[in-house]
Amino acid sequence: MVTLVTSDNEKFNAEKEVVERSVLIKNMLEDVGESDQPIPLPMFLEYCEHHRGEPLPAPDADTSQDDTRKRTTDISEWDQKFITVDQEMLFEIILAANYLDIKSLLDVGCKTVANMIKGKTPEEIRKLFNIVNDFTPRRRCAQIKKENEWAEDR
Amino acid sequence: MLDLLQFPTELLYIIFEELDIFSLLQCTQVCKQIHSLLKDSLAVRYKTLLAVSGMRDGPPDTISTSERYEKLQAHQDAWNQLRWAPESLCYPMSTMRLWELAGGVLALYDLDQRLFKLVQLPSSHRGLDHREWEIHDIDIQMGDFTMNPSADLLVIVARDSVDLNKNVTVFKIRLLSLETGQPHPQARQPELLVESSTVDQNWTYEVRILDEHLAILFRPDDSDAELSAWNWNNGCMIKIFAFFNSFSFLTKNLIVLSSIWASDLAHETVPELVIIDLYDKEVDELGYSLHLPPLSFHWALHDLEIVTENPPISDWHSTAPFTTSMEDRLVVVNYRLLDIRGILKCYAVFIPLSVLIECLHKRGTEKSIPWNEWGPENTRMLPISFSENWMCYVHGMKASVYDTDHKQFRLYDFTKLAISYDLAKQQKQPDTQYLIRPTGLKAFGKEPIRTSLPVRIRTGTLPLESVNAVMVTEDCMVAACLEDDTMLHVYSL
Repeated sequence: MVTLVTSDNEKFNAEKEVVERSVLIKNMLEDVGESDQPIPLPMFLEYCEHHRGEPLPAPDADTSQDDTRKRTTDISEWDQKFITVDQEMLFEIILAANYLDIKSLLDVGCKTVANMIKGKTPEEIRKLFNIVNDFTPRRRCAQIKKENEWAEDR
Repeated sequence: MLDLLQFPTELLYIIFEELDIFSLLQCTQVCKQIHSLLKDSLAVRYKTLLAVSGMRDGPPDTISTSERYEKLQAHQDAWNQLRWAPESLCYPMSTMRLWELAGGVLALYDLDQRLFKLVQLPSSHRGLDHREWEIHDIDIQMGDFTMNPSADLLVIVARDSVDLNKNVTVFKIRLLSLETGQPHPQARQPELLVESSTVDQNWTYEVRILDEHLAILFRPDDSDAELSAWNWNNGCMIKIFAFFNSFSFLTKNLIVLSSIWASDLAHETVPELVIIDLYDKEVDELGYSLHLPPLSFHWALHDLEIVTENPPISDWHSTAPFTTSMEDRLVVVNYRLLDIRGILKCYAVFIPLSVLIECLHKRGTEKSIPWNEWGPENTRMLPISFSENWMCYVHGMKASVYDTDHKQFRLYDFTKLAISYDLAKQQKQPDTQYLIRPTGLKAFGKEPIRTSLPVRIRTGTLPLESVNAVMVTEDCMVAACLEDDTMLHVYSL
């Protein structure tokens, strides 16, 4: 058993096997050794609990942005439900999954953002993520649009 | 509030990796930061090249995107310059008179020795080795065969017996593993029997596979053809249809059939395509019909053949870094007709599968749709003489023809994005004609038949005399010499 503590001092008990899904926590546990010292953490217990027993990426697998990384297929139903949260929370999950180095969760999060983008116009994407159109002058944007014209009207 | 643009760059690239080329190009127009991230990114370059070469990405984990991109670029360059490997493969065909090309595998059947020779065609750019193997001891009198390498399936059709009392012909169908020649492990009944209510000496067959469905058209010389369909996994027969000329699968459950009827009122022969759902409950329902260009009664329509390539099974993944995308593929309808002087003329109507599916989705209550309402905008009809010998000349959105008069091949490429890309970037391919405007075919109708589907037509020569026909795959051209020494020559990139 390991004790995990969130930033607002709530404590959780979890099995070592479950939380080791996060490479960061796994490394921390190794550093701490066999002590009762609690380890800080947020809402990922549920995620890790659900995915317990699934194979973890090989320790030496390249987890950088290298494109040989394994592209998993579609998002499972459970993951889909888990990730159905507001945008703020989704971004937090992605950043935390990245920080805690939980590859499968990071993939699910990034896929979810990608699915939000699919089929949308540039203006819709701006609105969705609160992005300002900073092309100056505006005809620069029109020029890029023209460069992409070959792929319109498919 | 967290901001997407504040994400570490590597996270943004993971997100972009999930997007298709269309979404990526939309993203480039969102703001300066995303534009500069994507502008010259590998993701955009590779996905653009995949789209314009009509390919789809292979399975992950084999090689990195940058290597894939380089290989695909080299593959496209080799096509543009027709850089064939120095040694071509040659297969004498003096007795092997049946062949098939599907999924990158060439199958040759020797009728005398009852022996299959199978060849996995090599590809240096896609890392596929040249491999040959044989299947011996075929103990039935071969009528025809087909195969689907992605399902390891070889289907053999043979005429088994004739029952003169019942006036029926019995056919035997074998479902074998393409690798071993043994009964296919996934087929519950590796041998199927079917009766046809006709007794005839000469039969021809059309055998097609899509996923777990197998369909065979049995064509006697002197009467109507019958089509039977099965689920080859469990051996259950799905349905039998009659009175059609030719057929192909559109999707796993949808079949397109060609048929010809006479409109006495208009003094015309009306060829049509009929789309049928194999699982439609009402047997009498004749499906949904799309009319093809009609002929006046001066012309005798001799045959109306449908040609398309059997795509790989849906959950199959090639080991190659990229393969032809079968998301859309050509359905070619061949008119073979005799003019008033009895001279054979051939015309081909090129139809993307997506057009047929869209017509089906948009249909209202009408059971049929006239040619002018769907054809001119979405198809291209050209005078083309495909070889009468069975040739697998359609591959994805491409079709290959050999012009024996000019001793050159013509490769018709209907990949829409390839054409729009070349025109937008003003980068026309070498020896390629771009046919964008409508053409009027003054053939056999009362008025010229106008069609307008864009196509680019590549011409080229092969280092070989007396070719009769060509077939095409991702990396190979297979030339058939059918006169004195019958030979198949494989040129690979």
